[in-house]
Amino acid sequence: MIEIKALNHSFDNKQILNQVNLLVEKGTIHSLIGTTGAGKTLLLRVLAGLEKMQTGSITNSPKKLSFVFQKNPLFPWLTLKKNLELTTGKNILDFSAQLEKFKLTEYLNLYPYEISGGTIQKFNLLRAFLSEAEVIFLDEPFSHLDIIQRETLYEFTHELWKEKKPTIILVTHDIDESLLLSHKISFLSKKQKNITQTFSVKTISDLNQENILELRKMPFYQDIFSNIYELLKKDLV
Amino acid sequence: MKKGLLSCLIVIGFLEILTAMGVIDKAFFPNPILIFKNTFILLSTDDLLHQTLFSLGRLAIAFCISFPTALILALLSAHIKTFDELLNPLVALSFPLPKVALYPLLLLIFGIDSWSKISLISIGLFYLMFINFRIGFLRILSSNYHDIIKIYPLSIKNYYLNFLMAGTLQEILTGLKLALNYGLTLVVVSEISASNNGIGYFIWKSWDQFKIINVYSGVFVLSIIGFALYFTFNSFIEKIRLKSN
Repeated sequence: MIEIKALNHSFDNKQILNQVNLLVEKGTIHSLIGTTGAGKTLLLRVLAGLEKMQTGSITNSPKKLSFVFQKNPLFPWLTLKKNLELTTGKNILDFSAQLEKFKLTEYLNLYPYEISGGTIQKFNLLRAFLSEAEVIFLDEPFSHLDIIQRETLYEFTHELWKEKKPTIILVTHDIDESLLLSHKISFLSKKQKNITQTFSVKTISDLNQENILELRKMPFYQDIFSNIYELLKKDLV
Repeated sequence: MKKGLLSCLIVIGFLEILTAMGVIDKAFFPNPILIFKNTFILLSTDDLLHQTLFSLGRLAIAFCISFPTALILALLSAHIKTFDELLNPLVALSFPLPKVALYPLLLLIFGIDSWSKISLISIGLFYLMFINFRIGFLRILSSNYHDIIKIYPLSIKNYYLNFLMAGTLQEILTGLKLALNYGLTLVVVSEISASNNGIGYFIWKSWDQFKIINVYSGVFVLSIIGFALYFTFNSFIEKIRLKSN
């Protein structure tokens, strides 16, 4: 369990995060949702150690972590094979089973500019899961993809997560995404600069396109969706 | 490349017509075909080839001095803020200085043999390489690619070779392209005075003996070298740019 207590962060005397408290249970997918500029990515970067923590405390801070970046997640000057080998420190043969399973072997000798954004994110996610991290941070990894590509990647993420069930902290501004992927959703308010509400979500064990459609029709999905929608709307006014 | 060659052929063809029509004085502007023939003869009889190799040797030695110096200093500048704050103003202050102005001083320090010329060329090469390498290293270290290696740490060898050097290859090659082309200029300038070999010496000697066509042959050989350097580096830079976009 990761526990964040009274975390504060400011830039140039402008307070971005104020007394943020958060509890992330081990082996769960926890989403942080909020409007643009609420400080979601900043909070994620502080938790991952990419930004120095100013005040506050984090207990059980992960020793081995990985991060799925939103933009430029792979080195463009290296092939996908070299990208995977370099960043994980492992031989590509160690990943052959997963690469075969997800039909990614054919892309190994290509450069990132030669493949689609969706396939790049598959490699980005695969790298994060195969690095055997205790905690995986996902920073809006699907935000620039179309709905069909996003749904494929939700399934892909779910498949990977099911193997070893690492703790995942997902930053998103998409309510649908957070509802489909998470066990818990915390709302980070831009106005109050902290987490004001946390929702528990029923997840289904197999996330595929049929189940996604079914899930969207369920009352709990629609209830939480409208609750979060109201929170986002009020936070912008 | 093809378009570049085509534009050269158009200019050459135009000059050929003007000289054939007698519009321009052949004594000062020999026709291009004659210059090619003369260059080929001079290269095959060893004289021009020998002098060209002398000059390229000086450029190569100067490069071997400047490249590691610029690379190490740029790496230090990019990684150590205080070092950068100390070095960068010195570079900014001395960079606009015409390097040729240092040549008399270098002749006094190193004498009239090759080392005065090599030191002048080295200084000229250093600035263009250092400035471009530093920009590249600073760019990559402030990009989100640097975040990737904070999360997935690399070995020292991979950090320098596959991250820093490979990731800044565009700036490195741009620095080399600019430096080597400027280096050619400095080779000629340094060999024009206080020298008895090199392509600069060959051009100056030809002018002194009023062998104008030989002057053109020397200039033509320099152009070919410059052209080859420019297009070789540009083709690599284009390939890298394509990957980065």
